[in-house]
Amino acid sequence: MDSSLKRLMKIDVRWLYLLMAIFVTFPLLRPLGLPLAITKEVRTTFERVNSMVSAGDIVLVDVDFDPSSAPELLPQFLAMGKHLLQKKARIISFSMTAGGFMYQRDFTENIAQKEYGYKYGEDIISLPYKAGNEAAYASFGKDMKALYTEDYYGKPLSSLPLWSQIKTPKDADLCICYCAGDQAVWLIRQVGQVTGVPVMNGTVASSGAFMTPYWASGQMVGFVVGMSGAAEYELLSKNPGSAAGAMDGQSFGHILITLFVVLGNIGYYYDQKSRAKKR
Amino acid sequence: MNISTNAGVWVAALLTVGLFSWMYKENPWFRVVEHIYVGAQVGHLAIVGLQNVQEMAWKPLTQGNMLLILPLAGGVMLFSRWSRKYAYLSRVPVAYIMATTAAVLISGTIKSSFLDQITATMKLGLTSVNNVIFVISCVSATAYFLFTLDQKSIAGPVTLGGRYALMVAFGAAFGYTVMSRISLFTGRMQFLLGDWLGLIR
Repeated sequence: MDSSLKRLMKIDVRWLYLLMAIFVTFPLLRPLGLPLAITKEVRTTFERVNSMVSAGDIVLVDVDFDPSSAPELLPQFLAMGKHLLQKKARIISFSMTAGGFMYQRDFTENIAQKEYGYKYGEDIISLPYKAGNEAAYASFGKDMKALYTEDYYGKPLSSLPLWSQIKTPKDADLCICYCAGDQAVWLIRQVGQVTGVPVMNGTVASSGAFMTPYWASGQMVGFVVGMSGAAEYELLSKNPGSAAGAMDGQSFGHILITLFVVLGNIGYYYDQKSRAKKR
Repeated sequence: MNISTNAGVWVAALLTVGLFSWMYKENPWFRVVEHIYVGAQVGHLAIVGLQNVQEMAWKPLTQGNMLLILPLAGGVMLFSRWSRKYAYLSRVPVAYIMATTAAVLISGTIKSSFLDQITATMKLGLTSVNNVIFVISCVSATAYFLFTLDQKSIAGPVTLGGRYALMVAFGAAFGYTVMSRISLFTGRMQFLLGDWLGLIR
């Protein structure tokens, strides 16, 4: 027992990488269709989007992610974004992250306009990237009309009908932020609590624990975490995407990590015990 | 199997494989990809920075908003740190940045990250097991940071409970982080197997 554990403690880490690659990749190639439970957070978010958003309502969508967090946030954005389009909400998207524009543009041009027949300027607007982190959100909350004078394409916003129907973020019915870092907190404190617009957040799993208190305290009306949250939303809204298909691999990866943690702790325990004996 | 014919997909796939190759051992291809990644990132940030100056300061300035000379001058003064003789000039914009950041942050932080959350916890009725666990964990974890409490007194078990509550929170944060990292890996594998090799839809 001791010798095999010793060997296990000295295992070449590359075997662990290989095992992880197999465990995650195999279910992608041969989906197993493991059941996916819907969490309370995602169900509540879905139900609130259903009840709070009606046709013609204005929704502010903060596309605050770049390729480094796209595997988790893009499926969330697409599933929830399509849900908004199906409800015929009017969308004003913006981004305070330099890499967010490509997802905004793709959603506006290829999904909203081509697939759902949205008219640019009347039903949907893309605002350009603004630098400044929390100060930019503060400007957005204080006077969004002064912060933005042109849209993403360089057109004067005064020429777009949808823009004339909103003066402050408070005129919107909902604000949804997809972000990997502190942007949701900035949005809550500089836009949500200043103007009173209800805020929802889609975040990466590594920020889930950090953002949960804001959800539990009621400062956010919706909360979706990670790729699993995206998969749940895809199922609820019947908008299949990449997240639901990745859940088998995700589950297998978690099983393997759990196994590693248990084995590592058993090995550590016996290692400490044998060292104590030698002393 | 329907391999991509898109040159961009091939470049992205070969760069991804190059970065993954480090897991076997460090190699020249990994080094090349690593340098491309760092270079592209620095180049992107430099261009974004220049565009910010152009769009947010230079363009409005040339349109007659002369007040923007002040932040532009402040930005230039930041570069004086490279000169020993004039380094003191950089303190003015640094002090301005610190003061405005503090002003923007403090008021919002006190309400959203402190008062609102304390209020929500105080309003939480002890009507379910979850709520009871929540309140006990919150009180004991806060008590853990009261360093003047004598650990041998009655406060001992409370702070010990707080320590366990914190460990549970760290465990949850670790679990979330693992989930996040596996999601990133899954996303890359979906790209390699789907977009590049066409093995999955």
